[in-house]
Amino acid sequence: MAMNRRSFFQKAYGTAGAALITTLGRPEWLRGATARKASDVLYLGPDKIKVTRLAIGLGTNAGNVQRELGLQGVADHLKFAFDQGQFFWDTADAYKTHPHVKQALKSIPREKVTILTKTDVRTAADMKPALDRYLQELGTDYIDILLLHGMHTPKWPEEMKGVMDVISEAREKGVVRTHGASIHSLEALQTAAVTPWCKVHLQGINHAGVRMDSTDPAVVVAALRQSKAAGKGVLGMKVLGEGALKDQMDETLRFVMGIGCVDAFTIGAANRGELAHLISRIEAV
Amino acid sequence: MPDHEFGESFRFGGDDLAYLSKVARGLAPLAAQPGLAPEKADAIRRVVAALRKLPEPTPEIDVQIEVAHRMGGEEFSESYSYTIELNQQRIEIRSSGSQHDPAVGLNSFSLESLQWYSNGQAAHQGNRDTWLERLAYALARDYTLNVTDESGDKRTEAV
Repeated sequence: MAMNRRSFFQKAYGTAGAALITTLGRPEWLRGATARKASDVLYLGPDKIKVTRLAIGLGTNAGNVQRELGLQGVADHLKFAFDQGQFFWDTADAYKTHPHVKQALKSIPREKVTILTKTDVRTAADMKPALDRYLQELGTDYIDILLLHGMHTPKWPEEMKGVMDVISEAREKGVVRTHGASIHSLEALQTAAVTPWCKVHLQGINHAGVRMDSTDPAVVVAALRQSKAAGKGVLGMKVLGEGALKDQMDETLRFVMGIGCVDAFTIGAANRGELAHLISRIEAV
Repeated sequence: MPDHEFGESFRFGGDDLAYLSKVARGLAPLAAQPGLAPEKADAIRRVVAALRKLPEPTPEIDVQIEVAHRMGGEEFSESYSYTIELNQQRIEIRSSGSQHDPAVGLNSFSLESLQWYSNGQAAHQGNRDTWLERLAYALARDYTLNVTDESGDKRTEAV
């Protein structure tokens, strides 16, 4: 970690924050002032998509970790999550877990869940058939949240304009309820914060700067605050640093839930035990 | 596919070389796979070395390495393939897969595809870091390895 908590707090919260840390000895995000649950219901972004604080991630190691459970195994995993109040599912075309979501929807009513998926398509001509395919693979006639996957250049709205137009049209038709991008660089994140089309975005965030777009969490937090102030829905990923922060779970959960600019976050559990533990830690910290 | 003209050279942008160095790191352990024929191990080492010394070219190199990984059972099965091809005209990194659900049939798809050509062109599709994640995952589990080396006068069969 490149910075200690005090220097992070000073960067993220400014002089007042520095004074506060001196007075109280611990930053706000470490005090856990507000009880939170994984199943807290929130309304994300300007289109107010109903989500839970924790999204059930289906993309650990590009979906391999979850797909190891098998088709019915993932469906059972999602049903288990649903029974715990977790109705927000995070998938992507690249994870190849759409069929698993479809399988889960055989036992859970579609309207009871919120599905986020991501597209790697890069042209308007490819986006239309891809969207039809996603609907078929997912077993649904609408997608709640569709994100452009892995944006990393600062000019991504220009580069992806054709694809974005197709998705906007799908939103007007009700096939997509809201749209945005998953972000893989600090420059792309800063662009997302000022791009009106981007109603929701997803990016790496944790207290230690591990697997994030910047090793300095304060820089990322500043961009997220800008997004949040603009009314966007802000989703976090890599909260556990792709597993590297598993032994710092409480600290990273406190951080992400305490910085006040991340609405919800996705974590991919490998099995029910991991998920149950995660849910319990979110409530406990 | 673009025409390839000798005398031109690969052009790498941004952090391409850093990425290809990561690919070399990811592939290097394959050479130590138990039971691997010595000529296959040599071919893998040759690719790793060639990637590490880019943008300097490696004359005569022509190697393809494929790692294949299967998951699932009889009811729903999946197979994935992660490939790197390196020769004087092209560097290509790609992945593809298929899912078979008896109720739906076979669904085959390509995933990531990254290509650099000796005429300076490049074409990238998909998230390249995801290719590395997929490879690392497969290498930590059961996988099959195919190596084809046609460098210079070498010709070897797949293992």
